[in-house]
Amino acid sequence: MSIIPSLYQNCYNLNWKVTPMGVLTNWKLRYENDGGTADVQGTDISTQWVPLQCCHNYTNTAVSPVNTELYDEMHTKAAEYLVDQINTQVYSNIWSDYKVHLDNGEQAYTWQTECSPPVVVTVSERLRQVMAERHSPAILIRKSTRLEQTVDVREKRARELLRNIVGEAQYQNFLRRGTVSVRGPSGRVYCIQPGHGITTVYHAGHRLARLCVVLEGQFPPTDALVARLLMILGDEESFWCKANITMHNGAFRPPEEVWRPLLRPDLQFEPPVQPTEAVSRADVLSPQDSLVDIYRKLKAQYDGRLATTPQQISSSP
Amino acid sequence: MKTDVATIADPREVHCFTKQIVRIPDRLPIDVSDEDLRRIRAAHAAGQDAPTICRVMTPEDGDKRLTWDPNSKEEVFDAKELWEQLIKEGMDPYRVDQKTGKVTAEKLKIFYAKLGEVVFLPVRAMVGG
Repeated sequence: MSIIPSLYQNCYNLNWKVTPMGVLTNWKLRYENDGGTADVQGTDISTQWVPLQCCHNYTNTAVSPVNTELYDEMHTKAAEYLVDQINTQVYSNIWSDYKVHLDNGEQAYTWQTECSPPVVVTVSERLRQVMAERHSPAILIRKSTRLEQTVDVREKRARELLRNIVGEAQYQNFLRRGTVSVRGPSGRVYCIQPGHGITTVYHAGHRLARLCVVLEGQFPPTDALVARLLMILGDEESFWCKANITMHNGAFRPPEEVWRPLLRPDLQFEPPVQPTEAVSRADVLSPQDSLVDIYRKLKAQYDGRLATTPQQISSSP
Repeated sequence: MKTDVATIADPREVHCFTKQIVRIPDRLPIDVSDEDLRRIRAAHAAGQDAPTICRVMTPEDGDKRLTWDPNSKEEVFDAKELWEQLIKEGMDPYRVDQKTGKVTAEKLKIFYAKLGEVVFLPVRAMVGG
């Protein structure tokens, strides 16, 4: 049995592409890569032949029986070499691109593999990829937040109440954006959402915290917003006491000494600028690290980020 | 028109978070129309003598709208009684005002007969999510 079918089988398994390259006579073929070279020569070849070319896509341009026979006759040596290279290099994950030289005395062709064959990823490498993906920023798709008209009488009354409280301009803003922004007595800006939405607290353009306070019962969504709005304006401290707080650094339910200073109007709190994930990963990780080292470094980095803010807050006057 | 409004047995009943029912006294007018509310609010803005607007937030119909006349002793008496009952059932009164276009709200500790507009919030029903 010829070795060519096994070569084609390998091509098929690796999603390679077999491309016809034209009519050649008195050809000389050389495969060359880091592992060495393989020369194949022939004469009186006037039929179309099919060289191998590495590519991602496999197209069923299998040669005709004549060409297959021809191929079988001519390329045995090169095919043996290639199959050997495939078996040794691809599966041992040290594949490097190879060049193909074709020369018939009149014309010469040289081409290089367009891309490397699919790399066999080891378990540690795959885990490294997974960890990197989880640290990558997510792609956010903004939904349309424009509020629709409602047929619920309760919701209509609630929106009318909100309109009376915040005024026409803010109310139209609410209909467009779905949120109401208000400055509390402490000077912090609250972005309030209807229903069970999260209330986000900002200061000087930075997000300080996310507060989750819900209104239990079958209240219309805008009533929940009105309740939060009035409570923030009239009794900001109680609102924070009731809320489940998530600080800007991810700390959940921080102790009272951490969040209470945020309510002081005189406190000039400036959140630390968080480094981008790409920069921080490049600083910390290197390809030579083992998985255990990567885990330890990332955990130390994460713990360090968490420990930054409470100290800064508590050390502030 | 089909709505999600639950059947309201008595429009003068306020179902509180504590499963208790507070009844609005008969002498206090309820279901004030939007037109009347605008007229009263305009009177407040002009510094004229006008009834106090009170809204009680309820899940059944959004809010109960009622008014009382601060010059009427009977209505003020009923309003104070209702006020204390609502506070007892976990509601907090917030006086709402707009000064120079900026909304302000103030949590009230004691009853005032002459207020501009006050909203009772079910604060006891507000919990951390």
